[in-house]
Formats: sequence, structure tokens, C-alpha cells
Amino acid sequence: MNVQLSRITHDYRAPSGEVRRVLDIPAWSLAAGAQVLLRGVSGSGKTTLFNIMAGLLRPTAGTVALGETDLYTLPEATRDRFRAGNIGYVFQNHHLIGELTALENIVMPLAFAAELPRARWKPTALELLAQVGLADFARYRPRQLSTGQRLRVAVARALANRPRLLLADEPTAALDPDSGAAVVALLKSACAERGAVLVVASHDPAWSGEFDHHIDLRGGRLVERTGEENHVYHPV
Amino acid sequence: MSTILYDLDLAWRGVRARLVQTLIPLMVVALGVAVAVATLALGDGVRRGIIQASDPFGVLVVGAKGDGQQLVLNSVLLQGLPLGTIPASIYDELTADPRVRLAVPLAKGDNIGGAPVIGTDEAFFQLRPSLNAPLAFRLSAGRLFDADFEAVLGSIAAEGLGLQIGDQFQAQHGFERGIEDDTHDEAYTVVGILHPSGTAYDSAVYVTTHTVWDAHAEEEGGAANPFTITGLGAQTGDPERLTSLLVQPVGFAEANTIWQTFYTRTDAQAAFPGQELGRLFDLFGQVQTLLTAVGWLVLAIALAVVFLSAYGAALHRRRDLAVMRSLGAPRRTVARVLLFEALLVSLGGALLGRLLGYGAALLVGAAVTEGAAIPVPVEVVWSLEPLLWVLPLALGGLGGLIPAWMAYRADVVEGLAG
Repeated sequence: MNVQLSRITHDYRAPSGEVRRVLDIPAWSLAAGAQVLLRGVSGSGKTTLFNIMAGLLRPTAGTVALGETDLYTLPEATRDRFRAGNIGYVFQNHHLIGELTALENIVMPLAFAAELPRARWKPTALELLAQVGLADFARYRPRQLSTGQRLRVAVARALANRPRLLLADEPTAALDPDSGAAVVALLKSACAERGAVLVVASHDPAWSGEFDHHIDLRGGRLVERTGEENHVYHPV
Repeated sequence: MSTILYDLDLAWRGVRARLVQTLIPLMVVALGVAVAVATLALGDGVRRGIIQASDPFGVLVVGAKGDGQQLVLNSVLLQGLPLGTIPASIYDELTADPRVRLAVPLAKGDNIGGAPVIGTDEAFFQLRPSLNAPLAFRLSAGRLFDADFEAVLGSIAAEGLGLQIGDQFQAQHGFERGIEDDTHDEAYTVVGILHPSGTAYDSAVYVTTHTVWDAHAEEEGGAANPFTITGLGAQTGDPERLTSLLVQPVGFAEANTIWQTFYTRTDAQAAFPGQELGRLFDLFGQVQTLLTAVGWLVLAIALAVVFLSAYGAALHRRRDLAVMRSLGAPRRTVARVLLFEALLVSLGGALLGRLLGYGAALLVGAAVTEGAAIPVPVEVVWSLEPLLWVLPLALGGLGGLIPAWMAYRADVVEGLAG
């Protein structure tokens, strides 16, 4: 499934009343299976772009299409359901629900998508936990897990509904290099296996070598490493 | 349906995860429900207990002039002191009166170990709640007295005093346990023990009226007499006096004419137990209304506490709710989770409140039964059950409504950032 952003702008009203444009992306196209490293310094708009791509933040203008579906033309409840079934999101701070176990955190998107019968939720979540190497930690709560383990649970949760777009926002920020490399490898292999589009946002230059394609986000604009702005990106 | 069950599951986990914050509103709801339940159940039990305890004792009570309610309470429920005494001749008048089916003399003034010693005659053992009902006071062992200083024990008195057929005891002056010097010289012999009757009289000891008169005859006017005001013969020097009479007229019309007869007399009065207990129930009703109002007030406070708790939960869980939205939960789901949490707290409070309320009612009821020998049957007040479920749940729903609305309206991106 292709991901297509067209004429996306997003404005933000500062406390002073001044309107600032934080994103300006005339076009950005990602083919199914694309794996992209999105680089940018803090405050460059990476999270805002991810929120728009995830259907969480309506842009000031423009469209976001996943396959044939134009996200922001869907009624909100339908968009919620579509997000649950098609978009995985690994947050910068993992954002696991503290009162739920690792297993229950992974069950959550399965329940919201309601594509599988209830009886399949737990077995599916257990399979995912096994895939991320945490089969023995199903009943652990987030506070009982290490940072790396929490991140792996977050990855498993994002993969729960076999998403066609996986967004990972600074997933390795709090990890040591080895753990970070393991997580990036996990994200890449899981998306490659599913043919999903993977976009990993990071300001860490260490990951440049892990992705064939990377794009910088500077001042709200996508910039190809050559410096050409508004690059329309087509993976090989 | 499975979505709603899942939302309920999430709410339950949320409640469990914030146990301390949950317990406070839960306890306040429970307190409100408990006060209402205990008040209503106990009031209901006391009413039924008094009706049951007063059932066998006839339509009229005749005794000394004074407060009719005190006369009835002392004669029927053995509560408080007697008003005074009346001549035994009134008993003779009434037994000869064709309007009277049964007249039972009661002569009080002594006790054994706190159990009142009541002088009466065989008519007492013919008392029954209604014409076709079985006798209220039936022997479980031995026989009725047929001589002075022979005693028949009520079931509670026999158990409490540890006396059996053939045992002997000495009575003390006064209506309550006194000092040993107040003991009568005469020995009483236990000849019979009664089945439980479910009345205050189960705690009494029965002897002939002459036994009571004889025990006091030589002491009247003496310095040792401990009951100079209300005791037998204290007013006239005549030892053959009664504390009161239980009267069962042949019909309601006769009951009214007997009452009218005594209304104009100066030596005695007649009182309808039903009427006097009705006045007592009115008083109970007022106290019950007050206590029930306290219960409602606590429930109103609970509404505020449930709201504050749910509001706090909405703020505290702002990020978690945003995460749920980002994972695909629609707005109605996060609103429902918060609403369910408030409802679960109220439900828990309603359940706990019932346990506490009925538990307290049972304890107080048992204490009343123990102390006054009046049965207080505490039962579920079915007529109020629907209200006592609906009200806390409505309260929880109301308290959770604004926080749920806040969650419904919350901005996901702001929540994730916060």
C-alpha cells in the first residue's frame, strides 16, 4: 500500500498570536515496503508529521492517502478504526499503559480494530511477544521491564494488526547502541516481512547506514540529502 | 458487545490500579448506603419485633393513671418502670364483666438476677395472638405453678439463670438486679420452663400473684422496702395490688366501652397497646426520617467525591487515554471507560454499603434483643432495594459524566505530548 502526502501544510498559532508554519510538504510518496529514515533535529516537526500521517492531527491543508483511502475525508470514528487496523505507531516514550501487563498492552489495538474474534486476541499478542523476544514477560507490567524491553513491547503493540504503515518516532533515543541496533533491526525485519512502509524518525546519525533511503526534515520541509527540497521519494 | 465488555474490563483494571483513590469515593458511597440500609432495616425490624412481641397481650391494658405509653411499654414489652399499682379488686370486676373474654393479672416488684419476677395466674398461659392461634406461652418442660413460691421460667430466663426443674432460688426486691441484702428469705422452686414466645416475657419468671403479695406483705411500710413509690401496696398499705392487667374483650365494641369506663375512673386507666405503640412508631418514624435524610446527605456528598475522583482520574490518565485513542479507540470508548470506572466505584459502594448496613442492623438488633428481649428481625427491605441500587448507580453515572465528557473532547496530540 502506497502512502501519499499531497500539499500538506500545518500551521501553529504561537502564544503571541503569531501563526507559524511548522510543515510544508508539497508531495511525498512512499511505495509499499519502503523503509525510510527521517532525520531532523528536535523541533523540526518530525512528531507533527507522524501525527498527521497517523490520522491523529488534521493538517491545516493537504491530503494523506494510504492506498485509496484519503485519511481526513473519513468520519472520525471510521478513521479511528482505520488507524487501528492499518497504522502502527511506536512513540518516542513508548507510551505503554502502566496499569496493563505487556500482553494486555498488545491486546489493546486488537480490541480496538475488532478485526479478530476476541478469542484470538491473546494468542496473537503472545505470538507477537515471542517475536520480540519477550515470551516470558507477558504478565509483566511496564514498570517491571527495562527500557529496551518496554520498547520491544511497544513495537509488538504497533505490529499487532499487521499495519501497512509503521511510524517509529525516535525509538532508540533512550537505548544504548546495541539495544538500539536490535530494535531497528526488529522494526526493519517485521516491516519487510509484512510489506509495510516503515518510517523511522531519528536525529541520531548512527542509523544512516541502516537505511537505504533517508530524508531530512528541516524547517518543516523535506530535504533530500542532496539538498533538493520537496523531493518526491520513490524507493527502488 | 465485546467492545463494551472490553471497555468494562479496562475500567475494572483502571479501578484496581488506583486502589487508594478508588477506595475513598467507594467508602463514602458505602457509608451513605449503609446509613440508609441500617436505618430502614432496623426501623422495619424494630417495628415488626414490637408488633410480634406485643401480639399475644390482648387489646387493652389496665393500670395506674399516668402515661398510657409507659403503661403499655412496661406491661407489654417489660420496658421502663411501672406507673404504680391498682387494687386487685379491679381484676375481680373485670373477670366478672361479660364484655371481657380474658383478664390477666400482672404483679411486679421483684427480680432474680435481673429477670423480672411476675405474679400472675393460669390465665396468663391462655394468652394467644388471636382466637385461632396457638397459645403464646407453652411449656417445654415441667408444669405450671399450682402453689405459691412455685416458679415457671421463660426460655431466656431459664438459659440465662442456668436454672432447671427442681432448682431453687431466692428473689430480690426491685425491678433490676440489686444488692444481696435485698434478697427475700423465701425459696422459690422451679416447676416449669416455657418454649420461646418471641416476646419480652421470655426473660421473665412467673409465680402466683399471692407469691408476690406474700413476699411483700410483712415488709410493707418497713424501712427495708426498696420500692416505696411504685411497689405493691406502697400507696395504700394494701398488699393485694396489681401492677397492671392484660384484658382481652369479647369484641372491639366492648373494648371501646371498657376503655370509656376507665376513662372516667380515678383509680385506673385503660390503654390500647396498638394506639400507644402507634404513637411510639410515629416517633420512630421521625427519627428514621432524620437518619435516612443523613444517609441521603452522605450520598449527595458521595456524588461530589465520585465526581472529584473521576475528574482526577481523567486528568491523571490523560496521556493513557490519548494513547488509547492513538491505538484506534474511538472517543466514545475512552468516555465509556471513565464512566464505567465511576459506575464500578458506585456499584462497589452500593455492595459494601449493604454489607455494612445490614451487618450494623443485625448487630444492633441482636443487642436490642439481648438487652430488652424484644426480637428485632432484620430482613432485606425489598421495597427499597431497587432504589438503593438505582440511586448509587445514578450517582456514579452523574459523577462520571463530566470527566467522561472531558475524555471524549480531549485532544489526542495534546494528551500524548502531556
